[in-house]
Amino acid sequence: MPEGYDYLFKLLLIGDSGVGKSCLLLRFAENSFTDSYLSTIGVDFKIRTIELEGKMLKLQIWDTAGQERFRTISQAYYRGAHGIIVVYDVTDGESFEHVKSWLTEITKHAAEGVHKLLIGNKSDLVERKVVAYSDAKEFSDQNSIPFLETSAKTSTNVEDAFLTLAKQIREGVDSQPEQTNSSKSNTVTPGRSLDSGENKDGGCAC
Amino acid sequence: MDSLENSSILWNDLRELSVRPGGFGTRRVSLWLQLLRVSPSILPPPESDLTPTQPEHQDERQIRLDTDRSFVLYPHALHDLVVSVFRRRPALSYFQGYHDIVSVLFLTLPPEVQLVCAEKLSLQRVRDSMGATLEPVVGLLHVLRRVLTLADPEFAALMIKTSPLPYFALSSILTLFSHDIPTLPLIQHIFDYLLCRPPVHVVYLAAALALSRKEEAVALEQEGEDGMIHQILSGLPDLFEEGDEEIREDTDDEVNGEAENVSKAGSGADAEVHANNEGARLSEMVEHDTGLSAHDLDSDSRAVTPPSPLALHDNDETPIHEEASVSHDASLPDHPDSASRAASSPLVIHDNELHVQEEASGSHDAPPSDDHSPHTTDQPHAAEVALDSSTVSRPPSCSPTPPIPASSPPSRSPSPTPSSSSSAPPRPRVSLSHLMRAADSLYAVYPPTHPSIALREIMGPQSVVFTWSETADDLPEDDEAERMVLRPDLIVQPLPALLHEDDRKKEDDEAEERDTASEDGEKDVQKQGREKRSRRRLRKPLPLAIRRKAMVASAVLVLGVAMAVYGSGGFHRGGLMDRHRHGGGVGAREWKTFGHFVGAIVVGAAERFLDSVWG
Repeated sequence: MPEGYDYLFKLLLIGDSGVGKSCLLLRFAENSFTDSYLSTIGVDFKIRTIELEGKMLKLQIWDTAGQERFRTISQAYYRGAHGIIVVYDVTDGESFEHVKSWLTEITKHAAEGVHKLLIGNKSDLVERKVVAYSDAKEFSDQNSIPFLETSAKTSTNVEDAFLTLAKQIREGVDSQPEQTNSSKSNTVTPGRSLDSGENKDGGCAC
Repeated sequence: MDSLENSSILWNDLRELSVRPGGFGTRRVSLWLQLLRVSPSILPPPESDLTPTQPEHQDERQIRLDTDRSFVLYPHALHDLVVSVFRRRPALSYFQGYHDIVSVLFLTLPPEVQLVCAEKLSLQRVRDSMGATLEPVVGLLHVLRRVLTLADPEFAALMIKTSPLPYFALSSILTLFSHDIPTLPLIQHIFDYLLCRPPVHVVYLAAALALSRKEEAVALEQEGEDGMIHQILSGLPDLFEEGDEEIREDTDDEVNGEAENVSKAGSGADAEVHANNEGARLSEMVEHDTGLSAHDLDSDSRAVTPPSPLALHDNDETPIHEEASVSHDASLPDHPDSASRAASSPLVIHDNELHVQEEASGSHDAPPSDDHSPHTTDQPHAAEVALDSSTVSRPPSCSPTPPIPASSPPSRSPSPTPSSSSSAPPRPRVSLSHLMRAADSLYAVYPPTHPSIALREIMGPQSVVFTWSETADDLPEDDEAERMVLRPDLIVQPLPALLHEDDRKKEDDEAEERDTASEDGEKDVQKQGREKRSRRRLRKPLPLAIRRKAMVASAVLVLGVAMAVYGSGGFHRGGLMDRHRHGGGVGAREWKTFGHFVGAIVVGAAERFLDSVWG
């Protein structure tokens, strides 16, 4: 079957520039890695279909530019996302400090009840690590967000990270099967949600 | 000498040269200097080393991040060049992708002029994006949306449904294509093209590019693949330079995709290879340039190669007949999902081209020229363009040359072709010159002053789209230009208002779109086997501007061409387009064609009359 999937989930990767969002996606979607990945301009997109507990899950993953000035563009993609991954770099304390402001972005622009995941990437760079696992874990627990340290370079935990989020989303969906029909905010793709945002909320799309 | 500052630039000659295969060729460096208003006599001393006296710019950390990971032979030299611009012009802000623009200058120009050229380019062309926010480039996305809506309302509706603004074009417009174009010769040619045109022209090139991928996007839309549509449209068709076919004949999409994946996703060693190839491309470029005329002669003598645009004027008659026979002979698919995969995608481009041309001949001088219509004298080309394209876009399978994927230059582009889509039509193969002529046609027909584009409603008076001028004396002084970024309110109009404005203008379109969109939004998680979206649409009256255009024409020059083309092209479009539409549109389409025909006869006086009625 050409479209062999049971569920379609839309995920979004956000976080500071250079923390490895595109590399995580490249590792997950194509199982490859490069040290010299190009900066993302605007938004990029990849797909991977995974199997989870006997069901096929098609993951549409949107990757965003990290530079502050691109936030207005990324925001257009928050609302349609079922799950959002906030990435920081374990060797870059500032990128961890900025996680808070990224979570604020989610609160402001994503659908209510969107599933979140915190990732500390570049865990292979042990000697340069400045963000302790315990600190990040404590922060994520306080905010009730699952947390994993990953390495896109060595593949460590990358698969697990996406699976964790996909599983959460699926459980969320299965626990409220009918309600969603009336809740349009949850249903839309990034683009379409923007469409409705623009028509009804007076244009936050800029 | 080309590069004397005050020598008058023969804009039309350069524009014509820039769309030919190879672009400016061996004259590139001197012409870029001239177009950027850089005089070798007033060059500042080269500053390849950063002077410690200059204070650091706030964006230097980000610049380091981006230059370190770009595939350039000398990341440090590129870094220093980029940083030098910002230390000299501290009011400017860096945006991700700016380093891609500068890398093109870096790889093209001699070191002593790199900095001053980067500075001029930044201040006079890229400035809008170098202020506090990216709102100005979002403004240009609005312009693009309007251009696409005029050029192909059906396609635009599809795009607006997946994303209300054409975000897929963001990196192309923001980086003048330098982030996306895979090889140095191609991006140099695009810079040739852009530098001798007004800054807003980048939007028209982006529009032509998007239209070239229509068939793929339509097919994906029917499968509900919004994300893939974004990916298709933000990627590139298989671009090639006419005359270079023998080394770029890798039409197999899979092979191509593989090559790109390898080059993008390889190890550090691959990055090394990239770096070396970048270096190699410089010398390739020289070879290519010196070989330009030979290429042209060569291609003229080859039976299956598209005729060089040099021969355009002599061939005015022939392509028309060829086109007619092409449209009759080709077996047109009933449905993009089934037969069209086998159909050559160039047919679709061909179709778009006709569309553009159709409007071109109908509205030859409809738009009143403002202070900003440098292409007025180019307009006759609009008609010729499409004629040329009918042969240029012939399916590549005509070529006897076997594919040599290995010689395909490595890609710097971030995944232009999604490999996971098995159902999309093949990536079309498009010659760069063809694409440029299509963009010129769009510009001629839907100029920024067009009432439905109304650039002044979107961009502010201090945007580069209004401060740029063909006349050097009319350009703002560099210092003045630098200060302009501090007034974002004068660069772009408030965008929420724009959205409402666009909504109002597109009310009709979106009303019918919403019907289909709402049916999509019913399930949180889309289950397998969801029914395909119906693409059936009601025909509605053509927008005012187009209706007007259909009846207004005064171009005697285009008259004969228009008649000849509508004899064949009108039929062609009716066949392809309306079958896609599942019926219901044939009458309207024919009416429109007929309208053009009549319009071509009712000239001059009619326009003035209609202007007074509708203007």
